[in-house]
Amino acid sequence: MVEALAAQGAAVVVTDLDDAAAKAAAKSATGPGRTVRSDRLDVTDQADVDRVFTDVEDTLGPVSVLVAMAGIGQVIRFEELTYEHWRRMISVHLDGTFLCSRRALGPMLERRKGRIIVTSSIVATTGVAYEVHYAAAKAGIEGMVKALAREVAARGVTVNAIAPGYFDTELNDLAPPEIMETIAANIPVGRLGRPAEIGALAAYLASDEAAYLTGEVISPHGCFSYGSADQMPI
Amino acid sequence: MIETPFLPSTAYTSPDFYEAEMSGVFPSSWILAADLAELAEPGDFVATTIGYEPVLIVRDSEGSLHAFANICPHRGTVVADGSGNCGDEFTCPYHGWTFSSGGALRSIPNRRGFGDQISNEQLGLRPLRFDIWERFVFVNIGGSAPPLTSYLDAAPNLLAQHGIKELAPTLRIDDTIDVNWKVFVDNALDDYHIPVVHAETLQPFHEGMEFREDLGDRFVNVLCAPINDFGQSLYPPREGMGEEQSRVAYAVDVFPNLTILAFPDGGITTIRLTPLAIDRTGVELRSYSHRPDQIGPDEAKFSSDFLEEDYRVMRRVQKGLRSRHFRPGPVHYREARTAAFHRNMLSALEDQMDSG
Repeated sequence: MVEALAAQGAAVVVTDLDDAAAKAAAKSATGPGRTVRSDRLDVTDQADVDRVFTDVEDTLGPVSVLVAMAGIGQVIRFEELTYEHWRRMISVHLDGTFLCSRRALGPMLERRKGRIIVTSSIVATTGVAYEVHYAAAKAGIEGMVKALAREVAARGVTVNAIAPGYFDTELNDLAPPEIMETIAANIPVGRLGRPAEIGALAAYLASDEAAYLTGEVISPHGCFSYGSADQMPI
Repeated sequence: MIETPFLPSTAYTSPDFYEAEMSGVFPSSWILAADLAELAEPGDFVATTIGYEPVLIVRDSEGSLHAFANICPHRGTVVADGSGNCGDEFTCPYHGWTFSSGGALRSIPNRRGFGDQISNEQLGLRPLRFDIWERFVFVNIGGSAPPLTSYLDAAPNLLAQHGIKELAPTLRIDDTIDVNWKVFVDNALDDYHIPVVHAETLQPFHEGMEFREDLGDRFVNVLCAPINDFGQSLYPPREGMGEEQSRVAYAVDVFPNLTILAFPDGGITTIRLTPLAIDRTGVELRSYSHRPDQIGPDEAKFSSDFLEEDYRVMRRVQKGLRSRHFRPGPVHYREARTAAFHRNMLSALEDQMDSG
């Protein structure tokens, strides 16, 4: 993602709750002619969101593209899912997406130009066993995208969600390898998605050419359907 | 023979060494390029030079900041000079190509004469890596320096309470001096000469106080120079300053060419050196204060006085470097930062050779 946006010539600020991870992501996309910096951000903390945006605006200039993709994963039976688990999941995904989008939107509307790209998941549509709170949070994000896109469509800002299927990322480390094999066997394209494919999609959504594409949930999933991956008891 | 970490005098006189500095050391470093105060409005720009690279920093019509190689992609002509506001457009003075403030090629006079060779997308201004600390825009031409915040090492924490973003500019001095740029850096890092050369200017603030040199990891080293009661009475500390910050003047040196002097009242002075030739150096001194209305005419005189004191000894050093009898001598403990700078120069040159 950072690589794809930096390669377009954008100055990129990558944030993470884990400062070291943000630094590493920034470093991986560094190069001649590129401005990539990092900051630590807790997306559930309104003051922290404001601090990071204000710092970027004071220095680099207005934020023209927001890519909200902070997320956590948890695999757990519904009967064991506590209210704290639920709150945490909803907070990081839905509150985080809300707080970042709202902070980004005002200056975009003033300039009548902006791109908000948020992150959902294929499971918002399909559902997934043992991640009920995750699916609920993602479905909430999709509702927000469709509604917000309508609200700001006439004012130059597009709002879209990328809802990936299964991609080759460290989030999969949460799942046992045999489950990942079963999932891969249910992807007709024959492989997991590659992170760069999400980056390229985001770069397109961020571009001037994508001005007419808004309110969409775009789901790169290699034609995945749960099928035999549907019943994977934990 | 005396064991010395100081660079040999040929490092100041050899054209090959100078060439390696310009095309290697400066491009591989983070170099101060502009102050955001000069780039507040859309169209504001600053042109500068880093090593041999003409550099252009500009805020575009939508408010975004950019750094570009300040050359026309047609024939390499330097596009913009000095600083100011470009409107929304730069015009190359040679053939009249125009570029938007965001760097895109906009128009070409008599375009048909090029046939179908021209693609606007490929002929915009070339972007450079830049980043910002507090109010200062740094550029890393080569793109491979560590992130700016780690490059600056202890500096951001040390100066966090000085309120650098809120400071008002109070003084600009632009000089050139006929010495190799490292003669100036050596002197800026030399804490041993202060009682002798600056007996009337700087020393009275520090008389009786013990200095401390912090060498840092690599790119930044710091002189902590406590200020005595006389100095404290003239420069009362800014509210909210840390305990050390309330009574210490810092000289923070950022490799290779920047010195930041920071005072308990939050005021700072930056001194940036630009090599203009092997024996000619541009000096840009900028002072900033939280109390700009209280700055008297003495401020400018004070700064130019202590600069002139340094210039006098630097010219002598430059002359003496050419002596066939000169070999670098031993290092005083209050020259440790100068010695560290020499080690860092060698490391930077070695890195260049390693990366081919």
